[in-house]
Amino acid sequence: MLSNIFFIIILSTTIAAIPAAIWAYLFLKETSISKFHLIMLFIIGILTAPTLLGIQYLWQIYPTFNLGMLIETKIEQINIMYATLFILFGAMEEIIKHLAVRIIDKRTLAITTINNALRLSILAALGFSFAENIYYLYQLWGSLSVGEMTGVFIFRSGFTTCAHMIFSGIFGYYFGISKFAIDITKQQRVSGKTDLSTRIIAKLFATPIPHAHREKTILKGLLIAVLMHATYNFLLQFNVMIPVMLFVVLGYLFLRYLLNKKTGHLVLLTDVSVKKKSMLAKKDEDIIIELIGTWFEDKKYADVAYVCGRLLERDPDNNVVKLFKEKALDKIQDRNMYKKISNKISPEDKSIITKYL
Amino acid sequence: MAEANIAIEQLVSKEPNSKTILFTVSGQLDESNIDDKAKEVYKVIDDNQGKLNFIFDFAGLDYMNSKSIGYLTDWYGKIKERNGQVVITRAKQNITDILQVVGLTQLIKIYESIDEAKQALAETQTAPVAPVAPAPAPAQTPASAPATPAPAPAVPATEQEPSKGEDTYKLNA
Repeated sequence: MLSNIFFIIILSTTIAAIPAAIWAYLFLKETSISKFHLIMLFIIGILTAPTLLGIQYLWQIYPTFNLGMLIETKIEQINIMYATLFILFGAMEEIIKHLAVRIIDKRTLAITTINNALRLSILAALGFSFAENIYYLYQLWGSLSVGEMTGVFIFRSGFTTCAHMIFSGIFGYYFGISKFAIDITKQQRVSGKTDLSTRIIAKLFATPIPHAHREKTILKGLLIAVLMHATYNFLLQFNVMIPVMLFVVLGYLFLRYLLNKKTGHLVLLTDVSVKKKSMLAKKDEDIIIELIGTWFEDKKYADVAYVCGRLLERDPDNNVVKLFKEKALDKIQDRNMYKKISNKISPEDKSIITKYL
Repeated sequence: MAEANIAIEQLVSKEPNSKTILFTVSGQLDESNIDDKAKEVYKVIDDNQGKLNFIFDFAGLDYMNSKSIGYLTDWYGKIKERNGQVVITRAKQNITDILQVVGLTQLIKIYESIDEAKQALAETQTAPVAPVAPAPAPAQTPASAPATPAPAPAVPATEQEPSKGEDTYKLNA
């Protein structure tokens, strides 16, 4: 019976669907994105895995374009060769999963918050991982004992699927952040801190600063995701599970750190598409934002947070002001444990208004 | 270059070892003149030891840039260190509005006339304990609201406790 290909595929699909359903439920139970778009993205995510297989198949037909073979033949040092291969495949997987998110975002404009960017990226990864799990289960069927198959299933359902979600989640986070490029670059400009790398990219490609910042942020997300993915694959080849598991846990902690940082620097639920009208004249508001920028430079963080809070009462959707406020709060409520213990935060703050309130 | 002028006049103070200075500010305080004008105020602070009270008459002031608000805050800090008071009189609506959003009106009271300001200062000097009174909360006025004279404070500068909402970030907490 097990020789029946269709039966094996159906069985593999059913087994692979279990972790996909559990993870999808955990991550998407509270999302506001329409179910239709979620299903569409999941399907596109599934299709990304066979697309990669298709590319590798094409490489066999047209070896001239076979990047994998090129690396294998050109790099002699075995460790460097493997590392490069893992980076190549990591990049291919991360890019193709991200493309699935881009397709849905372009058609539906579903990503208006960082939260949505994260969730959609995780769903695309889940689709990819689901397809990959079917493929592996199908491939291993019959060659392993039931016990070994169970081990493979548990490992892939838990750690590999989780790893995919973490890598894509990190990329999704940066993609979400990139949507706020205009506000972020304005906030940097007001506080006199425009990023040097952003300025160089803008100059090189003759593009506006916010656009350069956006592309740089996306590229940063891709690089981190690819490097993590490559490291994960590199660790897998040793067949020792503890480092792999530790790496997944570390990846999760890194994602949590980014999320915490994000809530510090940008409100999680800020919707870039929703803007209420300011209750303050633009000229007056500009003066206050300029003052906030100067005070931020002068390390008057408590005053900055205070003034931003008051200004947000008049202009609740001003993301530049929100950024200033959250950054000032980050400075005051410093998350650096050493600074917390040694109580080295307050003396740096030169606020006046909050001192006398 | 915008025109701005600060006339400085020392008023008679009832309290010994205390001086009350009236700054009559007019024109537009902007990037082109604020640093020079600020020096005049700092000179007064440096030249006069002991307790100082400042009255800023903004009747003729049409515009304040961010730097001038920064200076005003700094002067407030310096005067408070000497147990003095800073008050503003006759500020126009646009100026009051900005100062309210910045939160300065919680520290620096705005009065409708110089006499009223002088009287408030005199009362503060004679009162045994005088907590700083807050200005009214910033009104939610639309951007196109017509300019109207600044409202007089509802109560003298001794009766209300400043509101310390969640947006008040005290240091060393």
